[in-house]
Amino acid sequence: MRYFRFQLHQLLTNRKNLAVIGIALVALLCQFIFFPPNKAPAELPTRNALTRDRDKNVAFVNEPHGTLTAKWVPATREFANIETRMLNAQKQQHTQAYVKATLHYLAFLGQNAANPDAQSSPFHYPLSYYFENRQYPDADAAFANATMYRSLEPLAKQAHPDTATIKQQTFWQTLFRGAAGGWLTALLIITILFANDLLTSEQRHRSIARLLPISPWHAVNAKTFTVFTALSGFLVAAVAIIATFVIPQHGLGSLSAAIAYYAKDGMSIKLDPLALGIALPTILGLTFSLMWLFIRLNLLCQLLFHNELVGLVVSAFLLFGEPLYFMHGIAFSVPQTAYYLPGYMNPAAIVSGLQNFRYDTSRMSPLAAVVVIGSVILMLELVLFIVTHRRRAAIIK
Amino acid sequence: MGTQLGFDWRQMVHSRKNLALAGLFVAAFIIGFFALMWTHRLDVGQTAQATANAAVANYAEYNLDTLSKSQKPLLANLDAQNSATGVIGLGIKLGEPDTTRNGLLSLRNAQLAMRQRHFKAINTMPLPPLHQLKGDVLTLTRLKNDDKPAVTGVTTSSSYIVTILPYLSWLTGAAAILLACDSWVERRRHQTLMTARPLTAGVAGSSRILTLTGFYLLILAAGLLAIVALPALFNGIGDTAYPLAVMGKTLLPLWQYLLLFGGLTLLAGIWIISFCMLLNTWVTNAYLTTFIAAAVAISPLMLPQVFRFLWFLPIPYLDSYATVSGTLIDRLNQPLASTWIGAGLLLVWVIVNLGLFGYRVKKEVA
Repeated sequence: MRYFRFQLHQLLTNRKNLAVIGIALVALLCQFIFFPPNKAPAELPTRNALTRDRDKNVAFVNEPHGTLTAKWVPATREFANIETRMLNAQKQQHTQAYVKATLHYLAFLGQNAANPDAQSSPFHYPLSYYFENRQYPDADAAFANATMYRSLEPLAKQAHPDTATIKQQTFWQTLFRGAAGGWLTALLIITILFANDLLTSEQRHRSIARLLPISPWHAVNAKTFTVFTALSGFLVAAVAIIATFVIPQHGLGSLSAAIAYYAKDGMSIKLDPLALGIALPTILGLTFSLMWLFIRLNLLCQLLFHNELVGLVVSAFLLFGEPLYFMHGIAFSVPQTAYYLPGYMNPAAIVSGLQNFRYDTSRMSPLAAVVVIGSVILMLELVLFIVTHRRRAAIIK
Repeated sequence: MGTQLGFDWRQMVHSRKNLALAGLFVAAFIIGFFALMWTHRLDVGQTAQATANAAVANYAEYNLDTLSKSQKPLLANLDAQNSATGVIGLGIKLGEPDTTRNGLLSLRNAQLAMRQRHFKAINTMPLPPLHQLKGDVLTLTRLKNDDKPAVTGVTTSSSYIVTILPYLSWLTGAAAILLACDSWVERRRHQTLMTARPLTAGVAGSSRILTLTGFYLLILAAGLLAIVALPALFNGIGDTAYPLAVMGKTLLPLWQYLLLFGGLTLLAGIWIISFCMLLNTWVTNAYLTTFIAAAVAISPLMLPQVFRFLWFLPIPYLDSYATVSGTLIDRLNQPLASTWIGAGLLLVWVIVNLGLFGYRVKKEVA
């Protein structure tokens, strides 16, 4: 216990670690001030855009048509009706009617937008998907459309659904969107930076470190728990900052709000609703296991190679290596690539089925993540145990 | 001076950090080649497909029967872009590089027209910068006249170089920063030995910067060797006279372009090295120096509006590809940010850095 407290003190007074925490918290603040992570999603058009589109559609319906464009009139009339209902519900602040109209809007676009048979189809997905140079913007937009539909479905049955929940801006929804957006990757980078010099920083005090009456296995475990403790504190601070920015404006939200879980089996697509009350703890659990993996991996690299670079390079390969073997595309992924570890580095993408969508499979489920990450952790623990129990084992050279 | 140079060189070559840096630099090009060849990430087919999707979506914004006179040219342009991407796709599918090249030329012409006439759809279409488009049109027209294929992916050495040119400055800049981050700090580890030698600060400083530049040149050469040799083993060297445009106006064959690009990269590297040495006289921590130098180097990407007025600082010109191709002018919206001005500014500021460094070190015992 005393060794644990000593190591915690060393960790929290290390200038590099303090700098990393400081930069991370400042970056989080800057993100909320300059690039709020919980803007209303692109699938829900603003009143101006909706009015413009509705007026354009009404004008189209009312003018004379030749044979080529006459086939679009019934569909456009129906679409204009849906848009009018959305606008009226917005004006009257009748949120249940707004949700129902939006569900029709999303379903209509899902069926008619990006229609490969019609170059002159007047319906399209939100234009922001096309500007960003994505490889398959239609597919990405269709995915976002379908998942938004699933999220709004349960709200249509409520008498007065909350506006912030509709726009995915409540605290729990922001946590999920931020997690999918990159906060988890940042947390893993911080973990790697913390764990990277746990053992090599003691090379400066070699005689003291070697004389401590602690077995290398005990020392390694105590250091792991130290990093975990420090990072849990950081996580609490970060969540507190997010709460102060989100809750006053948009409220806490309900844990029964749904996201969608995507899986594709052969030709059939399953899009099941998943409550945030289940999704968020799963994400947290997977994140903790990934943090454990990176800490143990860095400790092992320091034990074997006595320097910080190897751990950094290997961790970077794991965390950012997916684009080296994977490209979103038709018939691109070989069945085995669904089980490579770099594909499981974003727990939020696993829990929402985004990885299933990208790999066109149903195999990358949270259970598969537990199995893949768990087996790597098991191997790491085995090698760590062997290395720390050698005859002349010591935590530093 | 010769002895000091030899001493510094041996210190540089025996530093494990520098050796790891050289190894990682070369490894990055090797891994990058295989990754790009397998995933086709930067291939013309992918970017053309993105443009096609965007054009179709933008097209759907307009009501075809009630087009105003000003909207018709925009729709014609979107149509042109869309059909050009179809030609590119056809050329790739049928394996006809001439068709692909002609389709690419039509696409770039249409995109150039969209940029030059400030069409409304400019904010919702993935358009390359203006000078990039001008340069591409020049290149493709010359290739069409000479009946040679355009670079559409990563296969031969020349196509690999042409494809990764815009991203090279990230790697070479990072290498220079990591190389020089402890250049003036290493000495502090053996303070008594250092102070006992009969050297002036000027000799010690100039020998340090010369050996650093030499090692940097060595790393660049090793990287170039990897870039040329590895694809050549699989697909051959390719066209070494491939025309590339400087500032969107002048065409140079690939090997001459590389000389210009390499010179600018070396100059940028020397500036980074001298800047890191200067930082080291204030901040004696290698990690902090790395962080500050990296933050300074990335700042023109974060704040292009600020650097529109600060164009006389050398920092925007660290991106060698943007400087040579003229896209720096588009990024900063500043017509003075040209290649020669950039090279001149880098040279001037290297001298300023060295002067400041000399002034700082005079106070310190050499």
